[in-house]
Amino acid sequence: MSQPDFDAIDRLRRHDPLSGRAETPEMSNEALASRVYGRIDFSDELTVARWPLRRSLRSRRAWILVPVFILGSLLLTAAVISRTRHADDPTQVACYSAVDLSSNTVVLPMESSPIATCKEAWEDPANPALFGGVLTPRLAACVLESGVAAVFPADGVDPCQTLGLASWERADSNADLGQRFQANLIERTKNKCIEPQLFAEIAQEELDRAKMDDWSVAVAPAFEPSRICGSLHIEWPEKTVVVVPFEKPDDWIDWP
Amino acid sequence: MWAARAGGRKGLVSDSTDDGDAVSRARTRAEFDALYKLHFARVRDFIERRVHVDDLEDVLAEVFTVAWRRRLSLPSDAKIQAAWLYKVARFTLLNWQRQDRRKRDLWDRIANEAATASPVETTASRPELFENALVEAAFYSLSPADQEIVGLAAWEGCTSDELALILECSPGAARTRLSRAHERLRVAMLRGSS
Repeated sequence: MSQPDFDAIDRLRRHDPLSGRAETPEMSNEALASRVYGRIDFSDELTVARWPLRRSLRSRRAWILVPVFILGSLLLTAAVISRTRHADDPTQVACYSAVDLSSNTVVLPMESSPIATCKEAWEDPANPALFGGVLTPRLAACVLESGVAAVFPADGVDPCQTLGLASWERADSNADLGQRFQANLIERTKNKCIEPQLFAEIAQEELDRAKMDDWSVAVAPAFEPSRICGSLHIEWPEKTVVVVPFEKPDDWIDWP
Repeated sequence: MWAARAGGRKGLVSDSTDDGDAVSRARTRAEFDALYKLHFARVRDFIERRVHVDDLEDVLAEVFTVAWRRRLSLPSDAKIQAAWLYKVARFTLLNWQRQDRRKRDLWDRIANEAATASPVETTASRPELFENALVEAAFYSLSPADQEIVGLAAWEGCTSDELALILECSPGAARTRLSRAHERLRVAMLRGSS
């Protein structure tokens, strides 16, 4: 028995649920976009108030600016000479498809190393559009100007040298310290709904325990009263732990 | 503990064309504002097709908040950005629907309105209503996964590459899934009209 030939998707397309949408001034795209924009939570942007337990460095900035500048210049010189550098942000890596900063890019959370992380992306069949489905080449890790690790193909070339970037080197002891701090804090707070100010105190305790004296804690404002639990966000370049309020998931326990 | 992780596990494709530093570019509010202006209407349509209009504003605010928090993985190519936002919207919608059982989707509303709006009219006198009810019944008879993929193809006009990005599978798998769902929709429509 032959069945009538028609395109079911096309028929569905002609019955778009939005076809009967009422156009009112209140629901115009412009009005709605404006209202929604006002409700977006930008709290992890670094404009949040500083946690008062630790005195901000801001007031002392003028006093330390000159020595920091001199120290920075020395470090920059050292980096240029040594051509190696550790990433300021140990949490992510940018994988490039060619020795070209404008080539296709994918940004991934850092795993054991930048190359191991990006190798996985090259071998992922879901990413053929990114890397053209070709065999994984030899890879090399560099550090971008922004301090983020970046991995490039390195068949026959030194991508770091070609692009004028420093080669990546394993995180220094301070970064290891930061990762241990993060693991300890997550261990203490996971699956618990901890009030944000209390969360900040716990974060400060962990910073003190790790002797990370130049780090600070900030609490982002809660835009909704229902956001009663603190969660962890780390701004590595700013050396700031930001406590972000969010709604309590059903399976989390109240604490203490 | 979402905030302890930067970006999604899989990451997203970017086809950079300007300064090449996708990482630093995606961090700024200006970049996000440009994304918002460019794609708001598209994301609004996506959400509005799938939730009750009363919830539209809440869900949109949540989607763009999540997009802001995941901005490190924001692709620079505008077409891929749209698929990336659909993916963010899809996850937000799933969470939203899980958290609040009272949420009804738009198909419910259409069904209720169709049932109450014109009680004296019959489908025989309104062929377009009959067609609408037939298409609706056929769509609703599909599994949620089939509904999702044919909805994305029909209403958002997604290609198989974009479906792959949104549904986190390979383009080949997306094509196969769409083809099977398409055929099931077709059979359901035929069954409804016979």
